[in-house]
Amino acid sequence: MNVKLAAANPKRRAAWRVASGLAIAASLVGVAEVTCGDDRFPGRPIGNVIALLEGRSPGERTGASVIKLKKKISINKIEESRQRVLGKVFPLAPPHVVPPEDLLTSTPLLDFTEFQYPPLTLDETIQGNSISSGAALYYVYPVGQSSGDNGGSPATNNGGSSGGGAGGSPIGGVPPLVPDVPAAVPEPEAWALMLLGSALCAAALRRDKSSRRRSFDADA
Amino acid sequence: MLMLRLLSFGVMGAGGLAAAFTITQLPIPSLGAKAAPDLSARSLDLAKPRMFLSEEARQDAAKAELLPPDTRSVLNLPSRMRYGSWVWDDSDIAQGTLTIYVDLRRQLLSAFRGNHEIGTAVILYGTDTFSTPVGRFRVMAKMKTHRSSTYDAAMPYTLRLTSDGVSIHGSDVHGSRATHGCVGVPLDFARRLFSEAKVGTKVEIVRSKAPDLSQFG
Repeated sequence: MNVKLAAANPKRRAAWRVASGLAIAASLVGVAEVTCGDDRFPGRPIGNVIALLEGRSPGERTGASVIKLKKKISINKIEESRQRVLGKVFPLAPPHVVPPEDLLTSTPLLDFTEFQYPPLTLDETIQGNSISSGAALYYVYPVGQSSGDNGGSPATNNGGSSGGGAGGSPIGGVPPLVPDVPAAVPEPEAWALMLLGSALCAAALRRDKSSRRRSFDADA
Repeated sequence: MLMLRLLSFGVMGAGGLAAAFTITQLPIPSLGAKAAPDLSARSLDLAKPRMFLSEEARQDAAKAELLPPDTRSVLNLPSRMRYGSWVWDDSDIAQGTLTIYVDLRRQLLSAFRGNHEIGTAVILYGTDTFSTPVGRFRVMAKMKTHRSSTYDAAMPYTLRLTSDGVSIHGSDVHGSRATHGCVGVPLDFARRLFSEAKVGTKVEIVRSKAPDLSQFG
């Protein structure tokens, strides 16, 4: 009768399930102890040294049970793999950001003549530049890029000093930032979060199903 | 309610897993000696921890290559040892020369001091491809923390036996495992063996003959 009552009450049913699980586990553990703790020479007189020495052995190794413990890896391979993994997560280079005031007062960024062009006036450069009118600007082109219609062959270094208040241009002066690369391997927290999310989804589905059933019953 | 049901299923699953693990993994301690991780000697909890051999028993055991020929006494272990288990008992044995005896067939290593067995452990040994050499050796070198450059594996408490690297060292001794020729012993046992052994200690590795067990059953 008690069992019937327990089966009827969901809470008790769950409690019964816990208890039965523990009981099954305990019984299985007990069976394991009994079956594994055997003595292959039960009742043998202790005086038999052959039986004693043979009986303490875990048994002869079978071929099927052999698995290599250590995998042979060459040192070069290890280095390669390390580099491959590390290549995915490289440290960020510190951003080379020059304050605008420094840009205005500093010398041109490059002294190589092939990267330098005659000073241009503001009208000839980008519109909306905050640099005051008449300031000499220097374009710095990437290597290999044609100077295009900005004209002419590269001139020699035209002074380029900060003497006249002219400065370097921010164009091309700030290297692009290295994008933030996520870690290569998911962290345990990520796994835990994923499992928690799955559990919540399952719980929500179950709850939804049961509530629908209840509402159907209520309708009926 | 839902959580309770989930919990109940979880308990059942955990119980099943625990039982399966117990069956497959086999609890390790034999006679309680495994529970002593320190280096102090610990006697077996037996009324008669040591068995002294008669001349006839000594000859029988030596003939089957189960023991060195001049063994005087062995540890009295009435039950089977399991992977990872070991026993060390030198409580009644005076100081003397250590010798190490390894039987690959029985997967056992025994340490003797002055012809008395003071310790034994279940071992791992080499696969058929990387077989453990059989014969008589001497400890060439002792290295407490060594790492195999060939296999990039830790070899704690190494007692080196051959010039090509075959050693006795600490391992994670489980069933279904083998080495590349070394003799692996449980780590705590390896520590004791390392503290006892010296460069020049004799080591004999044999593959004993299986005795006719029908006479016992």
